[in-house]
Amino acid sequence: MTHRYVYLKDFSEHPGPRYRRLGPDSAEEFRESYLVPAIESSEQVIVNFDGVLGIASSFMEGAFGELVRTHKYSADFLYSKLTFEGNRLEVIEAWECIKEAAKNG
Amino acid sequence: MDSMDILKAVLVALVGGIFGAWITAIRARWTAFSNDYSKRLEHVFIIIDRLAECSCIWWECIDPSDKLKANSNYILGLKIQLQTIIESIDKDYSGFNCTRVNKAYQNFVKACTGGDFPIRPASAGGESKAILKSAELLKAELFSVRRDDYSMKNIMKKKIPRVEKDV
Repeated sequence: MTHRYVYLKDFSEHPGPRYRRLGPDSAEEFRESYLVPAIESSEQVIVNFDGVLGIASSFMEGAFGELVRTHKYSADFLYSKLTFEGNRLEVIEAWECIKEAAKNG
Repeated sequence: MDSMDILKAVLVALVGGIFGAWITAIRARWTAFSNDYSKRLEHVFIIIDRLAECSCIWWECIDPSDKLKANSNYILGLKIQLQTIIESIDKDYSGFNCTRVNKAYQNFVKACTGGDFPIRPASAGGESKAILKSAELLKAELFSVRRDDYSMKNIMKKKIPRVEKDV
């Protein structure tokens, strides 16, 4: 079983806005350059939030909610594929983004 | 008074003294526990109010005299402060379970830093109403948790490993 760690701090210690057009270090860039390739090439992806100085809800939605909305991954697929590590409330927020995107589209 | 009566009196005094000391120790411990718990929750309420105020200023495009209040990094810093203190209370107190305030917390931080944050909107969009409402709902949820926690069954939380996927 292949595991892959994705450290958000390796992408940026100061995550930016939701979309690439809105500024640097965006959630869209993180999702397309780090997250989706990891999901496609590994059986398990562990996303680690440690060392990042604050993640806005807009970034969370852009990075994780859009996996469902834009990339059409199902919530069940992501539950089996992803693991989040970091502050408990950040972890819950990431899962909530996925759940809400699956629920509301 | 014979020696038996004296012995009885000494025994009663001894048992009474030990019992009194035990009650005092428990009461002191409980008082320290509840005072500390209340103070930490009061601090959470202050941060919630500050985050709500700064987010309202930011989303309503108001130019305040104190520029820090409209700074997106400061708003994000307040969010980190809030999640850090809630997590620390969750770790320390058995009755406090952050899953109980999870929904209200998520709604609040989403209202404050959701949308296209940190890109400032061109004009005011009325987000402050949702921010203030969700702030009060979060405070109400925290009050509710605190009310339930004021019972003697509460003790400082033992460290229990968690499974993060169970949300």
